[in-house]
Amino acid sequence: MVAWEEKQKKGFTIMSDYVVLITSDNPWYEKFNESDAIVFDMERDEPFEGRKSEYHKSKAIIDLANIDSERKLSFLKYLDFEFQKPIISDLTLYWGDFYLEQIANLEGAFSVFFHAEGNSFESYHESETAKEALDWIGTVVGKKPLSVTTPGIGFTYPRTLVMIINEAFYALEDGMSSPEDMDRAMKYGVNYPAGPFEWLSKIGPKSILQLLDELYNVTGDPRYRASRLLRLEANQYEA
Amino acid sequence: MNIKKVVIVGAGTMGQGIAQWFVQQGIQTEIADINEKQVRSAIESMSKSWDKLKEKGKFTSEEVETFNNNIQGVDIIGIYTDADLVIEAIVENEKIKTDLFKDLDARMAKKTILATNTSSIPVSSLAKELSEDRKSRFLGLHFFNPAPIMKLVEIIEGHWTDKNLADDLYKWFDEKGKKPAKCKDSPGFIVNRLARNFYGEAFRIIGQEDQTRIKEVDQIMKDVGGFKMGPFELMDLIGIDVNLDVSTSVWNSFYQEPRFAPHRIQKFMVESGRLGRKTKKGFYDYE
Repeated sequence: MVAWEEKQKKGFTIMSDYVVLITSDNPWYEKFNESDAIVFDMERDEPFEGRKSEYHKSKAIIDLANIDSERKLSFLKYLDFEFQKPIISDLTLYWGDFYLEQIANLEGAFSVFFHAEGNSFESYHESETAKEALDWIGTVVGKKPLSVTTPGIGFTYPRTLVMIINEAFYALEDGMSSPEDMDRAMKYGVNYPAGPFEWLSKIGPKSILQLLDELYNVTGDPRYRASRLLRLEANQYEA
Repeated sequence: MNIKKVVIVGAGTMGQGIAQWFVQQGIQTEIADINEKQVRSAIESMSKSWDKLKEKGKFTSEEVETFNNNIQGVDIIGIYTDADLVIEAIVENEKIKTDLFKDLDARMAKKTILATNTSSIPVSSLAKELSEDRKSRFLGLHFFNPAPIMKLVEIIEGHWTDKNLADDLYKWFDEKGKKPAKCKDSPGFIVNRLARNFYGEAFRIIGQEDQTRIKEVDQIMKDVGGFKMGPFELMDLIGIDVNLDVSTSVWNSFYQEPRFAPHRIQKFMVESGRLGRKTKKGFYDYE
């Protein structure tokens, strides 16, 4: 049982500024569940059935659902139409600029889905409400929001990271080196905070592939074509 | 593996750094160059560096004295012919390197391992004109600048390299505190291939030269990603021309694979003479 449900059971009136929608694969899943927000697990809970008043009472809806691009857009459109509340969405794996254009109440975007070594996270806001929500997200994840000009496609850090990891997979396909030696080379040759396969183990191949596919589909540029081996690993991982 | 005598050919920044590291391992080291002045200057720099490290308490006076006794500058003709290992760190020119290795092949003892510190020339190309025995004792040992500090050594196996030799060297460097990484003879080896997109993607993200976005990308990669430097600051440090050369070389070696394609901003920066810190103008202004 999550924090807000426990309080409700004990007879407390739940007054929360935010409704959070999250999938269990999110690295911050526990942290959000421990927060003072009303949190719905997209797979476990019925996030809308009989609970719409929670959304109407909230200041904003915070979306951290990791679903495929098409479903994400429909989902955000539904939230937009149904509740007419500011929405702030984790768009790590998506074409953020396009979503912001399409969804009237999407007032902020951020990226916390990928494991990162730094103490900030990328954030974008179009309203004061969104800025406040992003500050609140920062308190939950223990990082500072770093305001960026635009989310682009998959923000900056995730986009760069998937390209480094994809290349490591191409090198592995070529039999060029081992994952351990590639990790070691990048950490001790150019001072990277982690090696490509260390990042992979923390983020998971499925999300890396999803962002590469998004980049490829949006730009049509073959530089974003995912390595066969990465695709294979992502599919095995999913299975 | 027992390495007691080493020769470094080339007394530039890399050669000097590699020599300094070997000396600090207690190994008798010779440094050779066609330019005598360069050799003298390299030895002076090493000596100064050891004095500073002694002041900082990193080495004792006895250790520094041993280091100074263990480094010798020589003419290329006068090098130890019984050295266990020779590492070449001269100009990145295939013809000049090939001629050097042919000469070393003829003069050095049978046991001597010949190694190149090249970052861009295929190791097997440099080995192809060597004697059959030497081909198996030829490989790439790619150090990173500054060599006494940076822990990585890429151990590159050429077509003919004896696998046991590469494994033995891997163990030897590991024991000496380096972080060796083994790889096949492939364009850019590990680092210069995998790092390409750290720079390449930064250009695609900003799309055009935009000072606000340049600063933003650098800040994101440091504050969010935990990288020590952002891609644009790092390019300014390396030299935008040097970075473009490496990008172009890897891109061409992979038959212009789009993943490695250089960006027009890089070319424009080089054409306008903004090469980074060395020209005081790059993605940032250093005046």
